[in-house]
Amino acid sequence: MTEMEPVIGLEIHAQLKTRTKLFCTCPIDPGAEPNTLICEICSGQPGALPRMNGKALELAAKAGLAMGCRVNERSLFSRKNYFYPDLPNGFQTSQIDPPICEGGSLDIQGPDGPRTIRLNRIHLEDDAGKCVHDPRRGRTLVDLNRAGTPLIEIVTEPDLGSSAEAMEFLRKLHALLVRLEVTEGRMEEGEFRCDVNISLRPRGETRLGVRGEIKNLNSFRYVGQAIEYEIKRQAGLYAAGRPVLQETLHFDPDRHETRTLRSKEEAHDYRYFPQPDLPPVMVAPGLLEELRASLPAPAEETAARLRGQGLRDEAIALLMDRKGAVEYFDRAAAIYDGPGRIGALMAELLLPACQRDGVPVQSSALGPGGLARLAELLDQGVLGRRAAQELFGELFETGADPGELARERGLLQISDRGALSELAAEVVASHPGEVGKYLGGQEKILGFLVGQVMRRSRGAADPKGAGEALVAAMAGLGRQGGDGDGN
Amino acid sequence: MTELWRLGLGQAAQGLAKRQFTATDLVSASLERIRLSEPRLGACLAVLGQEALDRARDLDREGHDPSRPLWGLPVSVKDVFCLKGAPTTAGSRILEDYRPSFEATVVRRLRAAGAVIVAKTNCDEFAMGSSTEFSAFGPTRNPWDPGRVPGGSSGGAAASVAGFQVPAGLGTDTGGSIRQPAALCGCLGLKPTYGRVSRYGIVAYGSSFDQAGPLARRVDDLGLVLAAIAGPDGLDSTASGRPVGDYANVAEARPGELTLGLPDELWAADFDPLVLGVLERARRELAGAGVRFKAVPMPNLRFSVATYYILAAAEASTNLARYDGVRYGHRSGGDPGLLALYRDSRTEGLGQEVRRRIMLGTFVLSSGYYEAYFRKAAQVRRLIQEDYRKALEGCDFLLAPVSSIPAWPFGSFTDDPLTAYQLDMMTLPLNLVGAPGLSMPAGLGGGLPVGLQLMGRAFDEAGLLSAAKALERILPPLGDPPGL
Amino acid sequence: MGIDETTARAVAGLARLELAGTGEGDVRALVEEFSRIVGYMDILAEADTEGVEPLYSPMVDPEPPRPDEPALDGRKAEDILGQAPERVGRFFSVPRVF
Repeated sequence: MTEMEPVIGLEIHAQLKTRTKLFCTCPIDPGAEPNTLICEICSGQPGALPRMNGKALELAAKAGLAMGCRVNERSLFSRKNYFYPDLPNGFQTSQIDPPICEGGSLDIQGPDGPRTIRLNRIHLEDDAGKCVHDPRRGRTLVDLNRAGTPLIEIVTEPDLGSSAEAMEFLRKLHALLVRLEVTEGRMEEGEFRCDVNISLRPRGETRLGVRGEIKNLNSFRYVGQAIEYEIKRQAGLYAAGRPVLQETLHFDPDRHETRTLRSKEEAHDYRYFPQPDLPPVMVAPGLLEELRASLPAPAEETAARLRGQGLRDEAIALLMDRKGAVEYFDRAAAIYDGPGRIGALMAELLLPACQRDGVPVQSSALGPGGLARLAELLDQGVLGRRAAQELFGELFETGADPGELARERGLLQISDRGALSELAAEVVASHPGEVGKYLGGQEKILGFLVGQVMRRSRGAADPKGAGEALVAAMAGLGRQGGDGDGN
Repeated sequence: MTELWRLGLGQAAQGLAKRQFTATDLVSASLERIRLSEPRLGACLAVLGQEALDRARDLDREGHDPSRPLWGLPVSVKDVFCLKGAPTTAGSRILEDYRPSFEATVVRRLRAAGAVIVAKTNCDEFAMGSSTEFSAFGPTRNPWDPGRVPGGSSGGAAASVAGFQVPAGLGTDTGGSIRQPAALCGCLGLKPTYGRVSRYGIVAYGSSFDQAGPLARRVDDLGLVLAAIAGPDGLDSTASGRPVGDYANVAEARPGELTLGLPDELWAADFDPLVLGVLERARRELAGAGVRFKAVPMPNLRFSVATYYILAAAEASTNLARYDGVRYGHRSGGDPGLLALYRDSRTEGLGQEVRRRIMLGTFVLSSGYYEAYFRKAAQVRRLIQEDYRKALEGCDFLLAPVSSIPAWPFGSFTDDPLTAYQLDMMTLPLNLVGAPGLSMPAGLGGGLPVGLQLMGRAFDEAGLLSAAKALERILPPLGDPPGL
Repeated sequence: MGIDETTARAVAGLARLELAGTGEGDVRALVEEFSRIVGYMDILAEADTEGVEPLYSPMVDPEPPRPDEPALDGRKAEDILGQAPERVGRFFSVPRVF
């Protein structure tokens, strides 16, 4: 029998990170009491009219730009008509033709190497409310707090060939949209959810087979499991010579199986038509330029740049994982040109401290300027590594100036050559015996002499500089003595 | 002193400014007129008597405020405008007990200008109809003949103004619903340009057609009300940002400088002879005063009835999907399940004409028919707009009849929807185009008012009012309805 | 085009309406009337609309999008909820969906 290959396309709904709903000024809060965040617009009262949230438009366009979509200067909202208790107007407001973004793609690392997954479109739409089923009363209860929440729907081409690829694509897309601050992406809140279209066809065949559509999966794992199950189910049908029907399916994560929601014959007739209450969605060229400029560089480019600046891979990974860390790093590195040291300090001290205290990097009391100064003191040898670690807790808490705090605490190292030479000369003068031994070839005695310099400086001397100063001072003596002996 | 209820809006405003009477006097007079005439007219669905009196007394206590042009003036509003906490039924059983949680923008603006809303007027259910017979709450009668309809859908508004209950009322016009009842009741009505007035808080019928506008007994009074309600609104995205004209102070046009286009397709209709007689006499009078006429072809107007009914019904079918018995409004008794709850609540709550239009609108949007009906109609709408633009090229305004027949006896067309739709032929084109229009009395034919309408360029309401003032001076006043 | 009863019933179903109305309406008469109305609309087939851009709304200079600033009048939610034909706590309530 011919080998069958799966063909998978995804439709992802991501909730946009706005403060208000798509068509009214009600705030968005999944934790609010039922039906407290509603007004005449999002509850579908007679006479109420929608007014578009400009931020939602920007976020949708931004997502499109980041994935190389064509952002349409003019797109339209349509009404998608159907009756359901959580749909207050009797229609959803969505984009059909044209949507705000078309085309574009996202590259993923597939099991057989890198692959480009093409996007069909991104469009804006509003979410429905929530139905809660009350089996005791035999009623369905409706909460409209979520009704009108802005979403983008991202539709891929059927370019995915396995559950592993689908999951990798979703992870990559999720990370990108979160990094762009297009969505909060909390999957447990349903802020990032996915419909899967899946069909099988004999390998080598170019036409698509009959597809099943699995609705509303809100975890990467469920997507993987649902695809695996559906591939097996459809393959079983083909093997048995039975037809695969075009259906809408529901995935039951407890039983790991899909169930029919409705067949093609029951498919809705949504009667789409242009929404007459809303003007066309306009994206002016100026806005597009602004959005383009605000886009962060792609992750690969950022990593390569940081590597070029001398950061170690572990530090790069940490910085890129933490929101705002790369921006913090760039600001610090602009103040003091010691990227390697700054990166190391962030990876070893700053980011762990932020993590521990739950403080976002960008709002840490120790700002990029302070951290840059700390790196500079370390590089100059004025502050030792141990002293830096000792100070860090307080710097992180208070945002104090590292130089001043080190001075106050007496932790600054003397690395000034003149001062070290003076100290070395004193020690040499007061320890003629040890100096003699050193000059006689017992070089290990230098450690003792360095210790004496440290004592005289009350620990503030830079030990490396002190050793050098001692060697220089004793070298002078040796030459003098040698000369005398020779006379 | 003349009876206060006889005064027009502007006259009453002057009297108030000169302290000849108080707001309370004026509002009381209006309420008294309503009390006396309602048994005959049935113009009002709700009379806000106590609230109106309280408000008038408050205004009197605060003292006359010249910065509020409608200070102390009683007005009626059609029952499609949301008043917070007050009944707002749109003439439908399905909204019988509904109380809005918010106020329509135009109502807020009327109140901000100092107006006192005394009544909510009757209308065809959801503004669908041209006789007010499709109100779920009984008929409104024509002030000139109680055996005849007042026109519609703003029939209550027209009857309340023509019957001297109020000096001005607010209606809505989706396919002629201000202009036609104004003509049939013998008062004036203005449909502004689409987007000139906010639609926020107006129970929707056809979203790309609906406009609110005033009905009154004088041209100047139309301007006073329009000035108070016009202009952009942060709550209606389709309201226009175009600058607002000085509608309350327009100069009268000189008849000798007016060229009016006469659309061939509208003047060639099959007129009732009495109506035709009045129209021809009016044209002679205007010509005698120096007005020039020019015949203009608008060939695509023969499609306007089909175009309008397809598009407006489509919009209506989804605008009315929210009446499902879930969140507000009528819910069918019994508890047979969700599907039956939807079907029974809607079938019981919505009247026959509304259901007819929902059926038509659902059909033209449904899979397989969208292209041939809905999209095709939207294309023809463009052709009609183009015809309109060309027609105005060589003239200042267009002049057309409003209705080919005068107010008709009750029941004439209730079982013949298609004929009733075709009667809207004269008024629909403006709504398809989005342009402004004004209907005014041209005279009496067989004791019934006959109207004429002026149609203008988008956002030229000031020009329209100015021309209408000239016509108002030339055409003879109708006098009082009998039995007033 | 003519409309048969099957089509009329399907349309009524989409619109969540009872074709016959509340009483024992004459279904055949209603279908005929609906068919006549739709039939009248077929006049549009005579219009030459080749290449004509549809006009869905005559709006001119509409409002730009609004800023993302929250505003909520809490009493409104109570007024809205107060209109519910049936409530369970703070929920609107309907017969079971599934």
